[in-house]
Amino acid sequence: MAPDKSISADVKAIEGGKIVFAPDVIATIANLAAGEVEGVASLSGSMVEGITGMLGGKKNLTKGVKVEIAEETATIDVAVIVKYGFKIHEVCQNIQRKVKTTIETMTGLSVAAINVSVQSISFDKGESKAADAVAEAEQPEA
Amino acid sequence: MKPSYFDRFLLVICALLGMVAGLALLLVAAGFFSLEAARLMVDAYAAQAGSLNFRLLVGCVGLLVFLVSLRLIIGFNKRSKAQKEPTATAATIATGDYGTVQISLAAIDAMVQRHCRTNNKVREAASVVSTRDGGVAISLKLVLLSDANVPEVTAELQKSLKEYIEGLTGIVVNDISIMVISAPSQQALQK
Repeated sequence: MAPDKSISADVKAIEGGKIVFAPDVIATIANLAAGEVEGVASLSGSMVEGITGMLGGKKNLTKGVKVEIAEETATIDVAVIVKYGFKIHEVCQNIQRKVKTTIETMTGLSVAAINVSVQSISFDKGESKAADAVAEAEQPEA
Repeated sequence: MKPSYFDRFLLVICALLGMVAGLALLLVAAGFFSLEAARLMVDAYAAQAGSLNFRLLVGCVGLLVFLVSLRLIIGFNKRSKAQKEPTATAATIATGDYGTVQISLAAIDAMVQRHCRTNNKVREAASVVSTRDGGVAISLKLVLLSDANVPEVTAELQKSLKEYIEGLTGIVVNDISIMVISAPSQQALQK
């Protein structure tokens, strides 16, 4: 029988049971939590994920998230695309806090680490003019 | 992998032979030369040289062509034995209690390009970002406008770019090296 890769939490249930989470569940929660952070344009998935998402028509809710399972903890890797103009290190710290809090609140699991990788910067057309103006204003006068 | 000089020499010889063969076929198709005449020439040579010698010659030529072709296939598909060190594709922004935060060098490069474009004295900019000593190093090749003061523009760009990248990413910029490809001429400056 294949080893069970889901995470289990020994919750002190009244009836004495076990709660098991599939990795995709953790990934979905992390994906949605990270997407809510201000400054995050989207999560960055692999090319295969992008193509299957386009062909399938359904939004891939685990895109850009990898979950590694230890005994009772999880390590989560998140790949994001950050909007131009936001301080990247602050956005990433917010992602880490938000994802950790959300997963621990919703599942009761312990999160060992949340590693964030910024894959690229998103320059929206509407924001680029404003961002250019900000950049010019920030430049010291010659 | 780049093929060796010997492989490239063989390729040139094969290409020349191919051209000759192609030209001969064109002449046959155009009617300047007939296959019958070619066959008569070959038969005459075979009769003169002897059946065994002719077959040996044909066999040797065939073997040579086969070995050369095999050598070319191997030579152009051989992988380098020396293993190159993997180049870093991301830089670490911070490592803390929550985990590690990294940013891809391509994302930093996009920011560098954007910043260079906002400078109205820079016409074109090519950038390369690499990791160095826990931070990043940026290498720029610039084409400036004809009326740009090179020392001033480059010094200002180095300072502003460093502040920009460090401010937005939190990564230390250790080095910004600039090469100005095109600069205003001295005569234009003196006028």
